[in-house]
Amino acid sequence: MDWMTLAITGTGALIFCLWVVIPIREYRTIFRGLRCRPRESDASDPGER
Amino acid sequence: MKMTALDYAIVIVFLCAIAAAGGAISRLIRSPDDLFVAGRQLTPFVLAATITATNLSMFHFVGMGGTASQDGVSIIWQNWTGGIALTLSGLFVLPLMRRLRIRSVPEYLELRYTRGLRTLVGGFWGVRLCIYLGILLYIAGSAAVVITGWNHYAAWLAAFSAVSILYSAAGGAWAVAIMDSVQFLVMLAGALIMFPVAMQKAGGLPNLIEYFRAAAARVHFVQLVPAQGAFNWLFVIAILLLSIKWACIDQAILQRAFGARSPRVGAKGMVLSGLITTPMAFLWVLPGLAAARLHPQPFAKPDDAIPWLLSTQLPTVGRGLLGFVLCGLVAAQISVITADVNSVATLLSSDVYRTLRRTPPSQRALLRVARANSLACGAIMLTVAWLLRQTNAGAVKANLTLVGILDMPLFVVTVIYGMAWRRTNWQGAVAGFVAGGLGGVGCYLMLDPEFFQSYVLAPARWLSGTAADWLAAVHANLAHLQRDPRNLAPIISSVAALAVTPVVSLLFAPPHRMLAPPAAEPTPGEEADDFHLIPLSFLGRFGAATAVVALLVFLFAVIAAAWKWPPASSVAVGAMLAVVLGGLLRVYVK
Repeated sequence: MDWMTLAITGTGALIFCLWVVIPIREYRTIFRGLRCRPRESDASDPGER
Repeated sequence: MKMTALDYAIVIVFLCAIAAAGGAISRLIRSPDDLFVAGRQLTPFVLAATITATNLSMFHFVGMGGTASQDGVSIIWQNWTGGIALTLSGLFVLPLMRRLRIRSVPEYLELRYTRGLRTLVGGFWGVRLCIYLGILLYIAGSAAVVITGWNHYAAWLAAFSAVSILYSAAGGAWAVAIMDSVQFLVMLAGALIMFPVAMQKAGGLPNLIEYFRAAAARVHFVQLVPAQGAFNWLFVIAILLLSIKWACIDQAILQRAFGARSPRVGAKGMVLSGLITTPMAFLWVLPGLAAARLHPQPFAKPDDAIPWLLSTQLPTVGRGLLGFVLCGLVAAQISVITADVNSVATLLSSDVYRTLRRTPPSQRALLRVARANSLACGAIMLTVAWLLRQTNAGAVKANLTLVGILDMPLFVVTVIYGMAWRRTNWQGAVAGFVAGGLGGVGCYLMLDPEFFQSYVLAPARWLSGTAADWLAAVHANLAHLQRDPRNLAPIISSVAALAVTPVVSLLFAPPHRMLAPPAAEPTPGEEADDFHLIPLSFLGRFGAATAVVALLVFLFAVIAAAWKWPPASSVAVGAMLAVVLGGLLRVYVK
């Protein structure tokens, strides 16, 4: 494999590894925060300002 | 060479897995905010993955690679200007919108102008996205037929749409965000297989570059900013404008970023997405050059180049590779379709259904309507994809062209005047939107020979021979521009909107609405808002200034390429990298 192909493939592989490792950590944080949310309700949708 | 049983098994298992996982995520949906903006809980890297997966579709892998095989590598600017645009939007636009805790861009139009404009733009955009989704599905089905050789278009449509509609209707923005994180990796893995194989088969990248440099007729194939050719310096300017528009007002992209935990996290997600897209673009553009070398006769259609490359080259390297890469292509397309289905559900529920009711609906009712809208969107998408196959793909070009023109005026009234000029009122916004649309359509009608003959000259002849002669003379005088309506239309529609909006605004009373509506209080789970448009620290200011100055250098270099300035391409690439890296520095410091 030539150096240009290697550099581009290597950069892609690095992005792949980073986006496997870091989002797993981030999802742990997200799911921890989701456990104590209220259930779906018949209250008015609060989205409107 | 066609698909083996192993390839089919890989694709079927992948489709079943994402449908099942997406359906399981529906348990996370407890409120409309969960369905529309993933409860505003998303973190920077998750956000970057979902924005990138929403951005990249099969068009990038198949369409851009195919275009590179026909016109050279400069089509890569479609991605690279996207990276610049994501960075600029992340620094200057997205944080302002995220701060308002809105769910859609039309909701911002209500806060800034009037509720009627929100309903109008929400409805228009919802319908437009449904048709666009049909085109995406048509591309996916057609490519699957070519790559696999299994000529059952309807079955491919059913498989792709069932998977995407099932999990976007049930799991909403949560399913989109989580599954996008997975599909981003699958598409990247597919590209990481395709790229080195294509380069090796073509004799290596340095040899490939030398091959095109030695061919006088195709030397521009390896020029990043060529002075001539279909994708020349003017294309780069036009696509930069369109990319900035896209990153600042595209509902599918911004809705993902509205799911950020805070304005700063949203900005980080946007800039990170721009950063990773930059090197990734090589992975699908350069295989197009390999296809051009390995298949010296031109392809009947440019879109045939990458499917040909995949189906002839991958099976010679290893069994199952074709199936895996096809999963990457399917992942790219399904992630875009689900994100857009989720956006249509938001627009039609939150911006149309909700604004037309006298009293606000309950959360449960809004969820029901949003899911029904997802299913309706799926039905329209399937119908459009089916009809496109029965007619011809020319409809695709016409739709993308005409609808794309209307986006630039919307950007002008939403972002440029909406955020930067207090005096703009709703009358000016509507007039600017209409004038920009008419300017862009007029540009196409006068410059594109096919459109001119069919939609201008023929009706004019029917009305008056003198008028037809005069129009034909004007058309002939514009002959030197005829190759560029695609590049000129966004510029003309922007200029028309920029000129008309302030004039009409000044004719009517000043608006009562504020330029920047007050920020909403964060809810539990969201991070505190500590993002300042003008950074507080020296490093932050340095990063923001670098991004802005580098953008100006980029524009200078691209325009200088018209005069064949030798270092134009290198300077443009360096400036592009400086924009993204400056942006990255700015979002990570105060």
